[in-house]
Amino acid sequence: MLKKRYVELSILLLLGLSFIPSATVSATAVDRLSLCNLEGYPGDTVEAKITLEGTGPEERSGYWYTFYKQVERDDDRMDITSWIEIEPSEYVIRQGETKVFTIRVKIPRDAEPGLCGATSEEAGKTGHSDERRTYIIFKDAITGGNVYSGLLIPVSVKVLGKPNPLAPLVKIVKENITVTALIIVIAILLAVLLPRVRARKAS
Amino acid sequence: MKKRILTLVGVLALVAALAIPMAALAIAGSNEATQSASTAPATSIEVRAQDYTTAVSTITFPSGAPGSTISNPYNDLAEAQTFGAAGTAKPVVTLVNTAPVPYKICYNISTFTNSVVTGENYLVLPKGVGCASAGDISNTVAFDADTITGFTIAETGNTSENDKKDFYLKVELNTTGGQTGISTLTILGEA
Repeated sequence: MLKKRYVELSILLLLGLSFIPSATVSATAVDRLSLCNLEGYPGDTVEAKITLEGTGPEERSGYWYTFYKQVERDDDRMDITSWIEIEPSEYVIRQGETKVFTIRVKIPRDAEPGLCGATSEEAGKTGHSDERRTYIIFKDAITGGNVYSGLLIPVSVKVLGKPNPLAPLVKIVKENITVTALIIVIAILLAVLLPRVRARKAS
Repeated sequence: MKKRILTLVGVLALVAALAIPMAALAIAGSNEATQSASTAPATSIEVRAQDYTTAVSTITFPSGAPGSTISNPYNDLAEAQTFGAAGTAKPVVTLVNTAPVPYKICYNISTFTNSVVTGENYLVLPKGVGCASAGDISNTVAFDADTITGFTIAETGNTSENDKKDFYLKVELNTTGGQTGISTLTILGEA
């Protein structure tokens, strides 16, 4: 009788164990796979945010750095690693945690207008590796380990020509199009009707 | 008269103020269906054990005679790299892509301290195809450089299981005995 109970208990234990899910591992996740076609004028600092998310059960330690993929006959517009700052550059991330990093691209005052860091505006699209030159890279490992994993994220900047002095005004008008339309209607009416009033008064 | 004109201007302004938002509302109220889409974060390539599931944090090459080639590294689960046909050969680690996009596989292997290793080779193979001998591990490592390989790893859920790869390594030891050195292996993905 006791032996039978032991057998039953063992079967139940085995069944129970078979339903315990195996621990799956996941590396760090990122919310952006490219930072291409950022725009700014010479002397500007363009900022972008990028978020990492810890998805594995182990704590991971890592860091960010810049990378230039040198290709023959590249001109000096392709390597913009010296323009880029990443803050913070080091991190420790745990499961479920998200960490936001600020990418600052400081466009030099003497930068010529045009695309920098990539050979084409298509560089940000999946599979367009050949058109990329400048990257930011994050990589991390289980804390204490020597096996890292990470991703290359291409960065490119469209350096704009001389800024239009009327650009702020155009922006305000675009943002307040209804009010602007009203003001124009009122101005036209006043311009048409006020001279008539004056003329009548004078007569 | 002036009063009438001012009243007229006021009424016109009021009408315009009401008419413009109403027109916008009328457009918004037409036969339209709302669509929504979202993107999930993309994970980097994961370095896993021979079961393609468990995390790996270290790779160790056993000691060997000075000047010899070591081709039986093991991971921190004590799984050693072995050679043979499909089903027999086991890589030191496996690579798994859990992201919805394929990646080009890049690596960076740092120079071993104390110059204990003079050269290293790697090989990336589809899941479980086998690796007959150490001689098949033929791609020379460029130390301390982010190097884009010609290998790609498919997006997660790939029907041919190309989202999983086997990764083999071997090193050539320095001719000086009694030394130990460490290095880091980085696997990077590029979408």
